[in-house]
Amino acid sequence: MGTAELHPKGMLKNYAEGKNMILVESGFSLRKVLLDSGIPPELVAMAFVNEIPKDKDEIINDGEIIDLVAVIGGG
Amino acid sequence: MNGYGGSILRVNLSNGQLTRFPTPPELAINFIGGRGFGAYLLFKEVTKFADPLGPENKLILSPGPLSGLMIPGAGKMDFTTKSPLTGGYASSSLGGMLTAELKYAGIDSIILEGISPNPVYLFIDNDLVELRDASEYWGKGTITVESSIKDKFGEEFQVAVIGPGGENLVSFASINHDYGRQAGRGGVGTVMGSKKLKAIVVHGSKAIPVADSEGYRKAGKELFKACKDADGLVPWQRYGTTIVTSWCDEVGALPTRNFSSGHFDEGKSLYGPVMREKIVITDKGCFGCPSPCGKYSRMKKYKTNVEGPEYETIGMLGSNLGISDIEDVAEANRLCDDLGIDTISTGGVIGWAIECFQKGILTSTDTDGLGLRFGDSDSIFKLIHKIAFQEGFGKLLAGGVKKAAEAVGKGSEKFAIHVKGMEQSAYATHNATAMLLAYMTCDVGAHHNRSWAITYDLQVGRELVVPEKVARIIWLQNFRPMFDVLGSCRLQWVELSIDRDLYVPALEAITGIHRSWEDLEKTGDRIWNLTRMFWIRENPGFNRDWDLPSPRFYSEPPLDGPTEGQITKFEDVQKLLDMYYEQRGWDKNGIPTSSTLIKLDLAELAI
Repeated sequence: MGTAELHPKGMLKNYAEGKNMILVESGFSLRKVLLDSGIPPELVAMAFVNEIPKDKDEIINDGEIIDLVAVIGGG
Repeated sequence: MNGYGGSILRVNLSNGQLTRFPTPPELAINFIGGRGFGAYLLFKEVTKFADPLGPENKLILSPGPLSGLMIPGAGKMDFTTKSPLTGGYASSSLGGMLTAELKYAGIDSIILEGISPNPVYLFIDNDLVELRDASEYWGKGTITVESSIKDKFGEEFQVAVIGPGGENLVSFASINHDYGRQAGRGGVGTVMGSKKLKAIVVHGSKAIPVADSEGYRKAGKELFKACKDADGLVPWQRYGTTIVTSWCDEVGALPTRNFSSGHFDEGKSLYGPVMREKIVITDKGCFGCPSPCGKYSRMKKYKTNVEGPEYETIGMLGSNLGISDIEDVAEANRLCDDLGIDTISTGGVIGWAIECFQKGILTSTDTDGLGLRFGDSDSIFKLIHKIAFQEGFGKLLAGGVKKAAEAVGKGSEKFAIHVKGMEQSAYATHNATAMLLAYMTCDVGAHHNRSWAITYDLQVGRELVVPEKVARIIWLQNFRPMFDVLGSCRLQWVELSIDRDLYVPALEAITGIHRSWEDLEKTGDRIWNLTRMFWIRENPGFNRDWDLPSPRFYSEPPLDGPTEGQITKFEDVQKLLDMYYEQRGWDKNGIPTSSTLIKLDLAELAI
């Protein structure tokens, strides 16, 4: 198993201790990785794996960079 | 006056009289501009019990103090009137370029009153103001008319125009501008049509005075920099509001088959990336926008173009009608825009009609021979035409879903999805109590823009009924619509999460008046209560029942999707209202108390 990078944006950083990047284990679905990282999947509007939009059931591979866009900033 | 055009234009359509008077400084101090001006002028000038389509009703257009200036998204303008759809307060916001041009012509509000004997358009070129014959444009679609007017006067003229829907007094007619922007909700286009005013054509070239030009430049640059540096800028520009389509489907908020569900099995074909790949040809923004969210699309199947569709339209003309082809949704969007009717209300009333047909409440005898079913885009396109021209069965639907359900009866009122007569916009609220309360208490009816709280539901627990949720709704209602008062777009704050405090020095440098967000929220609270008093004044017997949602959300749990089996209990609906009224300082029937009105400097309205 390798690693991939999660890049939470906007309010999602609040669920990642303010970090811009979290290293996660690859080989699992994005949904599981989010849950394991403490980021609620239901607050992620879109996920981009290497800049391509993917759904949350996508399996994360080694070295991938996943940008996570929050549903909305303010409300 | 710094930050203002300096004058208010009164247009009497009945006698053709045009008068311009200085913008009263106390109006600017107490109500600031935009939606604030509209609410004040509506309450003060429209006589009690005025017929929304009569000469005594007024349509008030107002930019704000930020409009037309170097502030992100400062291209917003408010349209206020007494709604022919709801009988209460209507306010609809329009983006594009019109508001800047109006400010450059030195105008802070236009008050349209009376009824013209013949179709006319209002022509404004700085100090030249005229009503001109519009007979050549009457009966034509919005796109054709805007294009013809621009061909005639030049691209520097900005145009707001109604379509056949407004001319034919469809209760939810829109006002179109810039080939694809709308003041869509509440029937502002209907009122314009009732006045026989086809279009407003504006050009201005005057400077807007600012109090501190150096401070203004500095604050403006900081706002633009914050937008450009924002994390979410790239995806927001690429997908715009469609960024939430997949999310709504995932969390059970995507209105599906007349809000009977919050999940659409074929929803993936409507998601933002699919739309981008299949039909979007370019991005489009409003005046001064660093983060253009508009999308211009080409429907190859129909050989047509449209600006859009945005999320709300995808929800209401797509999943809510069972349509899964994004090209069909975009074509329905184009028809509504060109015919000048609101896409949200159109989707709401057609969804109800299809459900009536499926349940046998309506038959093909009622529908001019049309067989109605979810997913049948051909019959839906025909219904859109029938509504815009008030033709046959379309006449029933043109009054809006509340009146249509009252006329048809047979239990159809239970699945007429509206609050106060306004069709609910595109968030299914079976189990999202904050968003449900937002719709119930919105000042124009079931619209999302005053308090978009569905994320908050997800963050804190969607079924919770607690005072903190209510407080959040009230805060959003006082705060978010202040962007409509200031004349700038809220989406830079909402979607890009820029710090709202960056607006404070900008507003101060422009107007010369320091206002903290606390001050601005107090003004928001004042306007909220003023518009509430308008509803009460115009509707004898107004009480808490007016704030109830569609019974669907407390009695019919969805049969599928993430909210399967979930509803908000009716006792919780009432509990939400009780908490809301208490926190607002209103009585048990939702009437502001005297002490609340006095506290908000509205003592003269106390009953």
